[in-house]
Amino acid sequence: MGRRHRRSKVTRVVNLVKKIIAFFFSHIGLCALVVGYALLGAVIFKAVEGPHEAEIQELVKSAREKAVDVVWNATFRVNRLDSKQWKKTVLDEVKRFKTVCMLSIRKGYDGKEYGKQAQWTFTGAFLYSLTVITTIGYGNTAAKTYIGKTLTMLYAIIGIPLMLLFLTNIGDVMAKIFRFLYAQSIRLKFRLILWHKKRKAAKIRRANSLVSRLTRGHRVKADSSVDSFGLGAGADVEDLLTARVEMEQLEVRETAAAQLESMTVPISLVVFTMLGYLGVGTTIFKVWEGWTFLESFYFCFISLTTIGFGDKFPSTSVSNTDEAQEKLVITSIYLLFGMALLAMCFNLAQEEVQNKTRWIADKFRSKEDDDD
Amino acid sequence: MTFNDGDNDRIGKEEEHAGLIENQIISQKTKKQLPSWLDRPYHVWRDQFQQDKCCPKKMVKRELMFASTYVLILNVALILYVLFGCQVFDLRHSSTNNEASFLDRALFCITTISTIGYGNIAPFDDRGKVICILYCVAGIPLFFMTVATNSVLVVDICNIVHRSYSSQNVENSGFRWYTSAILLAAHCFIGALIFSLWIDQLDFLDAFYFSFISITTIGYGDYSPTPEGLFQYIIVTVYLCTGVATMLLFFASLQKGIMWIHYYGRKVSDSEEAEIWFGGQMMTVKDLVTLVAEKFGSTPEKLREVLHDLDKILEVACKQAEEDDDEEDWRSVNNSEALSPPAPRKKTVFLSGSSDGDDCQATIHSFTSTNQRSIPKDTELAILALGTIQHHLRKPSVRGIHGHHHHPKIPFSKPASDSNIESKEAITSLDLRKKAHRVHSDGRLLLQQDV
Repeated sequence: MGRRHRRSKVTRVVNLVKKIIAFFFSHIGLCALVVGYALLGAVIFKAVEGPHEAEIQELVKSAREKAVDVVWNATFRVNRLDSKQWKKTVLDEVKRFKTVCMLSIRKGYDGKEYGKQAQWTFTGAFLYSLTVITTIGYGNTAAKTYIGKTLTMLYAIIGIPLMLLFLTNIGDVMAKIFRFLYAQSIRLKFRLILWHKKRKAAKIRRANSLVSRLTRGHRVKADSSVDSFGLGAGADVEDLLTARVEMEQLEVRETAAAQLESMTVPISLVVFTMLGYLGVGTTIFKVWEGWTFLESFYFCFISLTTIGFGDKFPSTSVSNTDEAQEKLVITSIYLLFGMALLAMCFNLAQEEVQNKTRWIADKFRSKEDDDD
Repeated sequence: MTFNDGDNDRIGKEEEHAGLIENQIISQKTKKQLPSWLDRPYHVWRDQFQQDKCCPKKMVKRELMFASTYVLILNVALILYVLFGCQVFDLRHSSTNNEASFLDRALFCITTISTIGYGNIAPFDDRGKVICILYCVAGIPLFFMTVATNSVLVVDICNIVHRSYSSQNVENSGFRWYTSAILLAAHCFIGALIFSLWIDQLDFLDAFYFSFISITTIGYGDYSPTPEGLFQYIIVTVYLCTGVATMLLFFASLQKGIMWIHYYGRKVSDSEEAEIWFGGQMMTVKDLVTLVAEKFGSTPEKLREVLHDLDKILEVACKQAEEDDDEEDWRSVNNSEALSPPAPRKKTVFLSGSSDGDDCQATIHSFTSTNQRSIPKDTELAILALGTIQHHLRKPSVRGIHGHHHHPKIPFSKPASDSNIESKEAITSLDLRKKAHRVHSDGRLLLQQDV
């Protein structure tokens, strides 16, 4: 009794774990997992790098205020008596301020104003997380502290395989949807062809009825031998024509079934889809950032191929306004969906290339068999 | 006189015999030196190569020439492509506006087509941007194809060496994920040593961070390599290329585990109604199972029993997690009649990878051959039937190959859920038969009237 109860409990726990894993690695769960992982990265990096950035900015600001204060005091008190003393004091203070600035730049100061502009907002950290796990890596925003760098490496170790898994599955799903739409369009095309064939069949049937009516009228006048000959000829021609039209329709249906069965999307359609998506992104960034067409296209291309130079980057004057944050979010969504679309295109193109390669290999093999 | 002559002859013969013995000893020694470190790997490689290429022994040389030509063409094409890029690009440093030297342009080309992309050097005018886009479209596939080919070559060499010098009969499998992880960590460590002590003299953590960011192709550009002299450029280039290859190996070995997690706890259902082409005719998996069972003189129930036995066989022989998908698939095929309610039709059947299928096939075949006596005839026939079913299910959508097979058409009862097209097709064929019969009857009437 106790053993049976324990076994059932263990089985229940195992089944629960199985269901949880199945959900998280199904398609919807996988999308949620990737987005959740990126949000987790955003929270972590904001917590780690944000205070460091604020600290550096505050240090530079206070150093600047101190330098100005010292110079003003020197001007106010020493200027009347001794010019050489004033110059010495001012130069010493400027040199000290320069030292503080250089140290801050080495630690990661980037010229942003304290309290007004910041790299490590939540959306900025989210975009950073996304560029890590997609291996784009612009470099405009980068970890500065030792903890940040270590966390980036750990984050990438777990995130890059997760991203590959996400792209593989979402690419498969999107490829199936694309293939289904393509199949529907082909089916519609063949339905139109069948409609034309049926209309042609109706015309032929009308002609057949006319011929049979003429034959029936002709039967009254003629004698028996001519009557039997005409009747046989008319019936034979009528049935043969009808059978031929029906055979044509059947052939069209078989052609449609064959094409639907060997369902591979042509490569030109795949390339056209990808160029369309790049065109959409080009339009968006052109309107937002005031770039030229080529610069926008260049940025979209460099991003979606995960090269990510970082010489062009949206919202280069990063600020805390809502508009800039909204742009970062839309950029993130564009990149994520673009990666999935790229994976879909690779799946479809790979399938087409494999079929072509197999066809060529079969042709060579049959040729070798003929030679043997 | 005669006595002295006899002694001389005997001494001469003994000397000749000793000479022959010494020559044989020397020849045996020279022959024995080869097998100790070269002969066995050669035989292992040759057997593996024959098995892979499915060619007889005398064709090995030609096939080897083909394979090596392919590898050489890829590598030479990549090198020429990089040199072409050096000539075409007109680059400048992003921070300072200086012109980039030839070696800097070479490094830029390699980091671009490997998608690392530091960004310290970038095209600055429109012409450079257009050239960069076109260069990447062709360069990225070429780079990764070359890296993949070279990686496969290196893995094969490691497998051959491992099989040669290990006493156990090791299976020819790829790297395990922990081996790839160790390689990746070691590669990062070597890079950290290079960039902290020799080339850029960073801190150790910064150098390690830079190495990791580079070989995962993230490539921020906050640290970028600034080698001096041709030798350092070559070292950086080789390091980056081998790093990308190591990273690809790591993710490829991870992918099996990832796919296993993806299909864990997931039941393969609806495979009963999946349609495949067989013998120039479309039929469902259920019909295929019934057909093959009848052909081999067995029944689907017998196949199910053999599958339960195969559970033990596969557990002993393979001990791999990937086989669970295969077993679940077969079990669901045989138990599909118990599924209720019947789900809508699916066009595709999920099967495990073909390599796993081949391993399963080879395992079953070797098990059958080694234990010929202990297996009853029914079980053996059932195993052959299962192999045939799996063979046909592995290529569900390939129509041309099966078109060549001239199988006789065997009538089957079609499933009740036919689509509209098929029902119209059936009605049309009935009409055609009626009309053809009418034509025949009219012909007979005509003949009778003539008589």
